[in-house]
Amino acid sequence: MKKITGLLLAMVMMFSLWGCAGSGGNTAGGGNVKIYLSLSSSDTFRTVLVNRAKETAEELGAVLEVHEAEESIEVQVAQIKNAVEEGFDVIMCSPVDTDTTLELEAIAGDVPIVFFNSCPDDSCLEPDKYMYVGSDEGVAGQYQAEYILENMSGKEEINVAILTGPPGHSATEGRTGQLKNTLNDSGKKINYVFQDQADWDQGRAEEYFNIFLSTGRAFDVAVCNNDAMALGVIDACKKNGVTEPVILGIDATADGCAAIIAGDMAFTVYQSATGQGEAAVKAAIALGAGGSVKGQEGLSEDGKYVWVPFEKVDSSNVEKYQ
Amino acid sequence: MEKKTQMKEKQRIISIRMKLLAIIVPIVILLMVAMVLVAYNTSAEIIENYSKNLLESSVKNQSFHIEGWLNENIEAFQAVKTALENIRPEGEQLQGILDTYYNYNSNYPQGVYIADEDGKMYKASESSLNEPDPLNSTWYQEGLTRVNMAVGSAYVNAQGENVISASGILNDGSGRTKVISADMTLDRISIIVNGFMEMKDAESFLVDGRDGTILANRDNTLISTRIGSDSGNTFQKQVGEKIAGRDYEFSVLDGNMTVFEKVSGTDWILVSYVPKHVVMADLARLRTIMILISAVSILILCLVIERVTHIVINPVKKLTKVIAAMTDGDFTVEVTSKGNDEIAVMSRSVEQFIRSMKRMIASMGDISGRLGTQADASDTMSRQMQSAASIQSESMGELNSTVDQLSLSVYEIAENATKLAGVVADTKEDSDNVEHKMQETVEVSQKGRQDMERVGKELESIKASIHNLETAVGKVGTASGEIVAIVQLIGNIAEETNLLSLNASIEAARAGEAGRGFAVVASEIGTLANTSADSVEHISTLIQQVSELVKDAVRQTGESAEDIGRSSVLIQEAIDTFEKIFENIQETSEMIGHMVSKINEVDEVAANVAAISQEQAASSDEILATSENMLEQAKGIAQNSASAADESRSLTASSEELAEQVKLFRI
Repeated sequence: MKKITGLLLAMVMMFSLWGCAGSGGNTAGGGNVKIYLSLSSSDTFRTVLVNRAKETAEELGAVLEVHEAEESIEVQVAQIKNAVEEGFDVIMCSPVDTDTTLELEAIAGDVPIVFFNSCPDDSCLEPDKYMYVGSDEGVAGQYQAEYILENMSGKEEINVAILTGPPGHSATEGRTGQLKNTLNDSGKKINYVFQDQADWDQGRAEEYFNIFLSTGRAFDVAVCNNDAMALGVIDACKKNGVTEPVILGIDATADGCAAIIAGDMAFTVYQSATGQGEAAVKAAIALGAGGSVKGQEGLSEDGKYVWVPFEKVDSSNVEKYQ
Repeated sequence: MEKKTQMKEKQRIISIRMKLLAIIVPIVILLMVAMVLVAYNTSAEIIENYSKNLLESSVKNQSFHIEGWLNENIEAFQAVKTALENIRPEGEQLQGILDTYYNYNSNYPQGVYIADEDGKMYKASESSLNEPDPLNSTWYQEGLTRVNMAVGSAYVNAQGENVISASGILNDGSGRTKVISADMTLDRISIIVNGFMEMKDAESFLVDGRDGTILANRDNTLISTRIGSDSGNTFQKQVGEKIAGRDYEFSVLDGNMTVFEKVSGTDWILVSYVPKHVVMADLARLRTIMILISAVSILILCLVIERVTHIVINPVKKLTKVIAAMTDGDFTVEVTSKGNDEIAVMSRSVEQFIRSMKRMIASMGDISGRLGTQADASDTMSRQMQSAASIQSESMGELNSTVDQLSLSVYEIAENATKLAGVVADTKEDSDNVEHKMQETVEVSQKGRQDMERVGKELESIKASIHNLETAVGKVGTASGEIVAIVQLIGNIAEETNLLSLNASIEAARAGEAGRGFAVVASEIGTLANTSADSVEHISTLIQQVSELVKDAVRQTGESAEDIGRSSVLIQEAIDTFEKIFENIQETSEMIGHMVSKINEVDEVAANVAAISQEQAASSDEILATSENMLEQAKGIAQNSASAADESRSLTASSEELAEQVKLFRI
């Protein structure tokens, strides 16, 4: 009996030691962690994000190399292969196409990947191994819905026109889905008088909204998945002489903010590129050092995501985001 | 009795085998059951996980297929739409294009059709579509909400078919709002949906996430109904609740493993499920096989154990027979010992044991014979001793009773002496008290005599005072006599004055007018004289009374003086009497003193007597105790010698029995 107890005790101790060793790597300092960043392509948002990532890596003493994949999945796959061969500790990746996620993970092998900017399917993510750092797209849609419900609390029936990004895109699905869910759950009668995909494009949004206006149907609010489409809606309304339309966007771009100041747009949501860059590098350093992101701000319950919060922008605080 | 013991022995031999079986079989059964359970549960978990993954990947692929199929169709519609928007055909050209698409694709046999804001329909000429009110139709209303064609919600068209339309605004620059649309039947979608299924035994259906309408289901009757509207179907109801709550996680609903997948680009939710019991069917077979194998193994194990124990136990059985015979006293048995294992060693030892037992029993027979003779002799001896001890015991009994009487007498004396001493001690106490009281009485009578003497003296002084009073009263009598004489003189003078006044009145009358004033004076004087005479008379009376009172006082004082005189005599006598009493008391006190000292002497003597007689009583007690002890011991000796006699008798019996027992052994 004593022998058995002793044996059990020894086993427990061994396991706990092993456990301690396993979790010992989670430190704030990024000493000597080599990060390989594969960027799908540069745009304003991603440039700000990557610049902030570089700064953060430097501050924390990590090495960060940035490579652009020029929107080519072949280039991106080659980049990941290089990263593994050159002995990088961790990869940061904004996927060209999220459908290639499994392939990227297979090539990376034991090297952990921190995805950003475009969110892979949930089933492809694993805590402390394949993680996504970004903003929860659903929250942006939810903020838009909350703005509508707050400002139209007197109405029992709201006519909503929606312009979305391309179908299947995580931002389109997340933003539109949560917008509709929040509105539908309000108990009010919501009529979706128009909903079409303008693929983030200002011109197309204007064209579609012109067509919509030509049908003569009334709308209370026009909600767009991004600011560019919102600006297209503004143009259409101006040309058709619609007075004081309520138009909502997302991204808080410079033009979007200007539209808010001009009184053309009511509300937008700011996605923090610097916040995402910083959080992504921190997560990469933690994983690259063989540790865990446990305790990092914004970590989701299932441990697969690090969420960087959105911020609401309207006429009262727009100056901050110009 | 012997047979019973044998039976028991036999049962015990069997029980070794039974014990082995009883210990090993349950443990083996437990292990088997545990193994089957663990194996079953692990397999169940693995199969369930595997099925879940299979179902999830199946539903995902199915969803991709549906999405692809849908997109293919929509792209085709979209191509037609774009063409129409670019060509902007009119009249026959338009009709021609629409006719081209009639029956062009089996997914939308009616082809595409258009309605404008005035309710005018454009459709293939062969089309059976007949829309009485296009403007209020579902496809038109939904088509107005988008430019790119997309599927809307399911509805029943004018022909009574369950259809779903892909529709959108036709932007042909005509300035008139037009909606282009194409219909797909839900029956066809159902076949397509279930045709894409990858997992065997799984089923699936398509639900519109916006309102819960079933778009596709193998059971046609459910198509176009709200999910969960059939209250008899618990599974559908639970699926409906999950969809309403937007909870698309894997779950087991009403015994079905269920997964949900959103069809990208639509609000459709593909629900795929497989009954758990179907998944677990193979597992049940595995379980049955495992149970069978376990049961057979246990049976074989039982048989093996039975045979092995039988072979092992056989020589032990033979040896047991020998030992059983030995137990019955039969040492004539033979032991055969083969081999060199533990049992052979045991057999040889038993053989040796039998030999030594034979020798021992033979010598035991001799010894028991000799023991019998010795026991007889000791029996006689103890009988003699018993009778002697009895006589001694009787004598001791008599001695004991004599001592007992003596002791009783001494006790009585001691008791009486003690009582006497007690009485004397009491008396001494009383006489001490009397002496004390006497002393007090002497003191009191002395004080009384002193008080009496003081009273006598006081009486003397009273007597003197009374005498003085007498003298004073006598003087008052003399003085009052003198006062009487003086008053009488005054009375006489008043009488004369009265006469004089009368005369003066008469003279005045005579003198007439001149004497009138005088007459007044004369009458006043007369009045005065009368008043004086009255006063004198009054004073006389008063003095008379005073004189009598004084006389009374004198008499009474005299009497008092006499009384006091007598008292004085009596007190003197009392003092004398007191003197005598005091003397008598003095004498009595002395006598009592004497008496007390005598009593003290008696007390000491009585105490001595009591002590001595108590000592005697104690001594006689000791004697009594000693003689009782002696008596006890004498009785003990008698008893012991009796029991010695008994024992030597039983020794004789035992030695006889021993001899008989030894005879039982066969050697």
